[in-house]
Amino acid sequence: MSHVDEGTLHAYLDHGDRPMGDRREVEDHLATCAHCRQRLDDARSLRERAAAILEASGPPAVPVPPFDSVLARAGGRAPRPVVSVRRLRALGWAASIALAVGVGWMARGALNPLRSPEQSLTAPAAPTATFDSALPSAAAGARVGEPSALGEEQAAPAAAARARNVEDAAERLRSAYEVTEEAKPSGEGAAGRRDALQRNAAEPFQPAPQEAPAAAAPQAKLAQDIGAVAERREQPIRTRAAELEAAPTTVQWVEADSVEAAGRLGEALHMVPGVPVVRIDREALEDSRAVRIVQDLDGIPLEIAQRPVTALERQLAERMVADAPGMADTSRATITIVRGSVVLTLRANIAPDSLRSLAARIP
Amino acid sequence: MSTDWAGVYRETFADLVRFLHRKVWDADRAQDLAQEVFVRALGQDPENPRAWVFTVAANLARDEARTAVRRRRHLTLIRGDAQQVTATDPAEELERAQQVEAVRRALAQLSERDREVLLLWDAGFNYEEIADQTGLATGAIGTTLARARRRLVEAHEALEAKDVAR
Repeated sequence: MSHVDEGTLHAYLDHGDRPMGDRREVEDHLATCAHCRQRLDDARSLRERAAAILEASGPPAVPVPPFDSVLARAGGRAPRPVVSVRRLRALGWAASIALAVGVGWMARGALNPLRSPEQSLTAPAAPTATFDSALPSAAAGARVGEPSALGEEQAAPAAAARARNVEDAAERLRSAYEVTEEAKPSGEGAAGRRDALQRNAAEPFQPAPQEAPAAAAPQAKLAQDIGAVAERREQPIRTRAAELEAAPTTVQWVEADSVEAAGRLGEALHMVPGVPVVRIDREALEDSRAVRIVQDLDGIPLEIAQRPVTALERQLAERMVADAPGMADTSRATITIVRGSVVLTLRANIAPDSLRSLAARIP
Repeated sequence: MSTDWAGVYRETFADLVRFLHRKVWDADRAQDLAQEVFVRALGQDPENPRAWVFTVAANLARDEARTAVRRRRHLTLIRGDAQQVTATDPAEELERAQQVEAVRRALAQLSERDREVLLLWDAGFNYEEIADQTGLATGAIGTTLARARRRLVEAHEALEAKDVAR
């Protein structure tokens, strides 16, 4: 018998395709061929190494959920499951956008890295809707801030019609996002990726909506935003997502070195350890102490705006962090945290859970 | 005779989650998809339930990949790790996330066929089942696996060396 090929050695080790007769033939050859015995050892080593690599990436061991959960999931499914899932996802979009708009509006003072709470407090008075009232009512299709003059018999059909409108708008938004995501280029090289990050970083960073809601109720604004986004399908998702959060004022950043930025901030810059920093900025205004760093999350820019915190902001920011775990997935997550005497606003085009996990890493 | 899906579920679920995890790289999503496979299995009576389950799982993962948000891929790893390492320190969490990311990138360097064969083997399939699943000849599985393992190890070592050099 000539030397055993590598595939046969692996099949022999795997007890794969070798019938007993063939296995004996392989063993007979191995008994007389030191070269193939060495190759068998190499194959065994390679096999074990590959298994160890795969093992290292395994999912965490979790107990198998009872089969009843499958039955319950199947039982609770509508006759046309695909439609049901789509509607659920559409509702999810609507809820997440309502949440983002509501949270951003109510906490605009806390999230804005440049605007002091005093400025926020002196801004034109917003409609008297509360965060608690905005979200559930938006999800249910009720109008926020509108006097409840309608009787129940009139309000119910109106609410149902509004709920349908929100679902339809959300479905359009979801479709727009999917189309754009599939159309996004995927093969950027490291240099191109770096350029893209630089370009992204050069855009104005507006961590939270600052525009005081106009006369329109939040739900109407939501539908307006959704419609505006749906009309711009050809634009990159990042741009359109940013538009959802767009504020009338913009922050101008200019590139700075780390010493200058730290000098402005008054302490060392805060960043996520182990993630490459691709850019450091300071605000263009000479008397501003705001700085920003941009880190590279494997091609996704993570922006961290930072400036000295005041007592009121500390209080608001901590409340925002406490609210954050309930946030649904959004195209652009923003989280504000306090580290020492600095308030940090993190923003990236990732899931809020992930952003929160990154925020937790910042010492 | 109708398939005992509860039995197949008990025997296959863990392997299925493992298989799906290497495709979607999100532990929660892998479990969710695995359950979805069995929801779809109810009422079906395939000749080989285990093979059927993995075929449906591969299709679901493929659909998932088509619509998956590329921007979430990296961070879902971190999110998954955050759930499992809540009691560990950030350094361990970071190391774990980097490990998973290195494996993901190494696997991405394999051809689709090599990767599929390797993951099916890792999920507990024998050569005959892998051949049925992939359409390859049984006699070609050993060679394919040998190549896939070598490329995985080489790619992983190259990534590790690159990380050390940084």
